[in-house]
Amino acid sequence: METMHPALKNGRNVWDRVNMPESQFQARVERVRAQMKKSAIDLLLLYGRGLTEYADPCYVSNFVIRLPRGTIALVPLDGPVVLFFEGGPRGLPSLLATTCVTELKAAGNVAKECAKYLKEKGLVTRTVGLGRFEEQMPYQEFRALKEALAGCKIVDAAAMVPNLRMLKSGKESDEIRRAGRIVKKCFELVSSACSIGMSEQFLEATLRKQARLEGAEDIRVLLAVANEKKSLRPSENRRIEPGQVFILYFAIAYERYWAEGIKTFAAGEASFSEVASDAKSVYYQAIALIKPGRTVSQVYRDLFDGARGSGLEPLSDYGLGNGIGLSLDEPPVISERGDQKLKEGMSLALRLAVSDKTHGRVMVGNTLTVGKNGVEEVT
Amino acid sequence: MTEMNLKLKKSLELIHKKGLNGLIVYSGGTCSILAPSYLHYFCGCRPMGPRNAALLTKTGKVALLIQPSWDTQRVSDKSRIKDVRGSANFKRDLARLMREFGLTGRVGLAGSAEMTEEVYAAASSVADLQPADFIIEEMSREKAEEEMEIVYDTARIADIGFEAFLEFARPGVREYELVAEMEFVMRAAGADDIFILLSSGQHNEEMHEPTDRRLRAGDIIIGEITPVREGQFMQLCRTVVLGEPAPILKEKYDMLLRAFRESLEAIRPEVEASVMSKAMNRVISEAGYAKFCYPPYMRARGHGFGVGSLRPGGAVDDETKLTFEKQQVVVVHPNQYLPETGYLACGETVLVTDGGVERLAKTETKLYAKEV
Repeated sequence: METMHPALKNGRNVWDRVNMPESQFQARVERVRAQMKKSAIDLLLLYGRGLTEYADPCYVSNFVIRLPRGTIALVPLDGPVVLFFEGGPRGLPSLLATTCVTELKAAGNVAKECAKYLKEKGLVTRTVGLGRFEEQMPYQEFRALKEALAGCKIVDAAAMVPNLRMLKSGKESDEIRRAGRIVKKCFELVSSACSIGMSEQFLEATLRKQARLEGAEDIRVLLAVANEKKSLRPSENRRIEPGQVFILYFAIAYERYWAEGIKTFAAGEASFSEVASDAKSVYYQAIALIKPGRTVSQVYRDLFDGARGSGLEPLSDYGLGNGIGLSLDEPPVISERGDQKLKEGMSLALRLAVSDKTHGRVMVGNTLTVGKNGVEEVT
Repeated sequence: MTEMNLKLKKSLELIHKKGLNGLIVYSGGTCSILAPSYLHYFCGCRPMGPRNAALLTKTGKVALLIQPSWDTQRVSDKSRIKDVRGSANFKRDLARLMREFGLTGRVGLAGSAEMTEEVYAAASSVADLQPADFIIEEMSREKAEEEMEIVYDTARIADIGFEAFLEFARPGVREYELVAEMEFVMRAAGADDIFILLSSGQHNEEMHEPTDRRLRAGDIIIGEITPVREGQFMQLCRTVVLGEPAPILKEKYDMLLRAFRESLEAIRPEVEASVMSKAMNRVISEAGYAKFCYPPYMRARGHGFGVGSLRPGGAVDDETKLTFEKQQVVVVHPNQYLPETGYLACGETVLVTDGGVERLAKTETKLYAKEV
């Protein structure tokens, strides 16, 4: 789901080595290298930008940049992973405490610094794989990097790491479960909160505080009033009126891993309650069918056709879902025509939005982990 | 004349003056304390998705192309630009809209630092793109009444954030819990985003996002408390000691306060922004810490704040040639690493006026000691 990008993550920023041991990163780097060998890539450069699109470099390092700027992870076939981040050297002590990479280099311009390093170390090799540079990197930097790599064979490796990220290890699924528990708690807080006179912004502030106290590193909140034209949006300084039905999207990252949930609430005279809607039963019928081997298009049809079969008009504005993990939006995408098969170890953010005669619009959504026999709902 | 019409008029004048056929104002959707948010400033609405552009022809026709498509209604309601179009394929739609608007030949591009290669390739296949950040920087020099109201209101929120900092900083509280309390009060007071870096301990090396560390008696807690409202940043740099501060700490903080005061006195319209940095570095250097005034210990001595970071820019240091101007919002911070005390935070955001500066914060910049 697309959300507002924050100026800073602001929340608890630690690397808990029990929750995510260094061996996890070593194993990931080995998997990346195996893919590089398959694709005849000598050197892989992964790019991440800002506080939303950090997943690929983070996968091999646990590193997330402080400001909305760029990071390059350099993965050679042998030797250590090297990270270049846009920023000053003063932040190195705290940044080094949250990454397994010891070669962390501050740079004014990551493309130039990376190019200089490649030259110095004699790493300008025959085949270089580029992960998401054209899509993410400012063009001036991209062009400087490409010039420095002149003479190399450049291979588009944009899909390599996202494909590996689709299958989560047990440790990764546990982190997503931890994030999911916080989302769940915050939704419970909505139901127990007093609605009298509360503004949308105050509700958001209250939920954020709860999530932060539970250890949320980053939080994304969107809201929509069910019978208004506007789609999901940031909260506004307006009172939630009794009788109003609103959709709440809530996502949090815990130790880099995301979970999201969506619920539709009605404001009563004194409290909020989740609305009863057929959308919810359609949703749960559809997720009961998910198991390894089912394709993303089958999941799409289960949701879409299930809604229509129940007399609801499904809305496809936000998509029906996607993978979730180090990113809020990653493969596989739940799409009408996709033939990607779901596998044990995947995590999905699955959502259903419908037009409902009683309320206007209703949405339901959860984060799910795919197990051997079906899905586990973590939010 | 409405604010949009004024902004359009100003930008059209500059477009014509530079012989451009039009202007593209681009945003990657990020909100940075150290970089300008030109598109947000231009259209009055913060974009959500990763690719967004306002297109303006030299005849004054204007439209906004945004992602995600479902955000169109919000942007249309909030933006000064009413022709808002959602896009599921930005590269294709940007090129199409440029052709539809006749944006060919020499076209200005503001926000190029956020434009990715794939978008640039699409746009430059239609027009000869020319750097045009200066158009938005020029437009932002005069602040509308509405902008000034946001400046004062964001300053009010920053004070509320600092009061929470002072109230909740106590032994046993974890750094991230302290930030949670500050974020809560500032958001409840109307902030739509927050930027808080802090650190705690007997000898801080830098400021960072909050960790698990529990505060202890005797700790020096430093923080950059920065609410954002409608894109306007406002920063207070504060130091709180849990317990009685050591004499050496008082002495060194007094020196920083002197540096702060002298740098404020140096600020006035039409003088180079470097004077602010030089004034503070002079005081700190005379106290024997010249080498600690520069990298790797220190970087910028302040930033220009507006929607993101506008003139005099994301980093004011001894080399900044841009001049201060009336109505600029500038954070002035002699935040300093000193070997005896560690890193200390000191400073606040001020408004440049005809006679010098106007303090925007109600809370005082000083060394705060909290009884424990």
